[in-house]
Amino acid sequence: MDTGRVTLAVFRKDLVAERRTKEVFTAVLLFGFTVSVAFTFAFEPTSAEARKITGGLLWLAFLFSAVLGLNRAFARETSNQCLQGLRLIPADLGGVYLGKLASNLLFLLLAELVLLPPFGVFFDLTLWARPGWLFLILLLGTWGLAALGTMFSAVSANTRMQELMLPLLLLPLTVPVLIAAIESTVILLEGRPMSEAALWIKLLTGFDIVFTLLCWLLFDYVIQE
Amino acid sequence: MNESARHRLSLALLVVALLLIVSAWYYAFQVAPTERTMGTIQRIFYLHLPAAFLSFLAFFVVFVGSVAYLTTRRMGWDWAAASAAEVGVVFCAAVLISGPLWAKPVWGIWWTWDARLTTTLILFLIYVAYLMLRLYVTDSERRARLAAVVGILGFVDVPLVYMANRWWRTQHPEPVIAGGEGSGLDPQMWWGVLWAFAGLLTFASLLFFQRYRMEAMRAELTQLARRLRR
Amino acid sequence: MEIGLKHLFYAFAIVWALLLGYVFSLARRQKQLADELENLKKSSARRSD
Repeated sequence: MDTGRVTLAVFRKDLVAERRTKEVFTAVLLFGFTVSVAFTFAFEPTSAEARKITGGLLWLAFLFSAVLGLNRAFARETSNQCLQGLRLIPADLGGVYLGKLASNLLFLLLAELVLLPPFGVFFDLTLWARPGWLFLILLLGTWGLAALGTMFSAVSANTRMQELMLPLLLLPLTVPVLIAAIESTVILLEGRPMSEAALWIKLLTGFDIVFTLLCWLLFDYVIQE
Repeated sequence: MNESARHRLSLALLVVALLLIVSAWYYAFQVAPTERTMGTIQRIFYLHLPAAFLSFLAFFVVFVGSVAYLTTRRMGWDWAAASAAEVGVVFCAAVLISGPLWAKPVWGIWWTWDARLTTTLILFLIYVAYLMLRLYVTDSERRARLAAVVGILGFVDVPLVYMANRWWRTQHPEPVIAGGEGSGLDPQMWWGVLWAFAGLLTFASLLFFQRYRMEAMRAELTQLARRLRR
Repeated sequence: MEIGLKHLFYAFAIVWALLLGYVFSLARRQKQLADELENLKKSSARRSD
């Protein structure tokens, strides 16, 4: 069974499971929403300053809720011994990683898209002036978080600290993603030309490709017995 | 190498290290010229820079050990990675302590989100997470495997963290610790740095070997305990 | 211009305290391991009698 088919199979399995329970999507959405509300208490920015920090606040909200969602997504594997089943696949397990990455990315993106309108309302932002760029930044940034997040959720499931290990590992290593995503979002929200964000977009793309490849290669080592 | 020979070697290394370090810092304080703009405080440099080199070197060793373990599955590589990570974190902490103590009198603020100091901070967090991971996995084979994966990912991340911070700094400029990228160094100062580096490197190697020895002992212990339980 | 002499002193002092603290931590942990190893070796010797 080659990688592509494994990927697709795992992706579809996750979709089916999620459609039934909607755990990951709801958790990410609700938590993100709560965090955003908390931010409005912490920061009461006027419209002018708003654009500078809301870029940061948005991605923090995404990051924290992503941690929640990623933990939940992998927990689904460890219950009912799905993991043992996955290990028995007569193919390299890299496909499992790619499949989970794809499903995690999808759920996170969906939740983020739903989170954007209320966030925009809270902080009085014009989010939809350049929807194409917005979506691109969202995609690239979330991809970076999901790439390492999927990997680390598997790693942390193997430790005594379980879910607590994920944020410990994820936060420092995704600093480049955060910086790049936040800067690009700020440029977008401030109405500046997107050419200024070119470097950040490139960094994001580079990060995503490098780590997806690396994690795809290393996933076997994490899952095997 | 038997026990007493090992002890003597450690002691010898320690003496050499201390000699080098003391003489290096004598040089740093007495012989090296005083920096023009900052004055005496700049001499922190002879501690800050070598410590930074050392911690990066240590983390590179973690990377090498991680790759080597995954390819050869020999535990010695895992022990090397673990030891290097601990020593690296200690020297990283030294960088993070000397940095602000340098910045405060010179620029009046403790921290400036200078690209290099920030990268060092993130580096510190990454390797502390690495050490915590090791702490919370009981099975030695699993620990070696998982740590190796994190060791590789962490190291590849470092240049990206640095780049992101550099570019961010150019957008939001602020004072740079250590005189920025382009500042030249008096050749006498370079000698001081090299010497201090040599001393600290010897000291760090000693720490590394002691720590490695600990991993070997722990493995022996586990093996013995397992045999006894049967 | 002697600004920051106090900071210079503290920097070296704290870093040295850190390094020596680590040395002691290593020594202590090594001793613990060595003792445990001794104990186990003794009980295994006893066991094989």
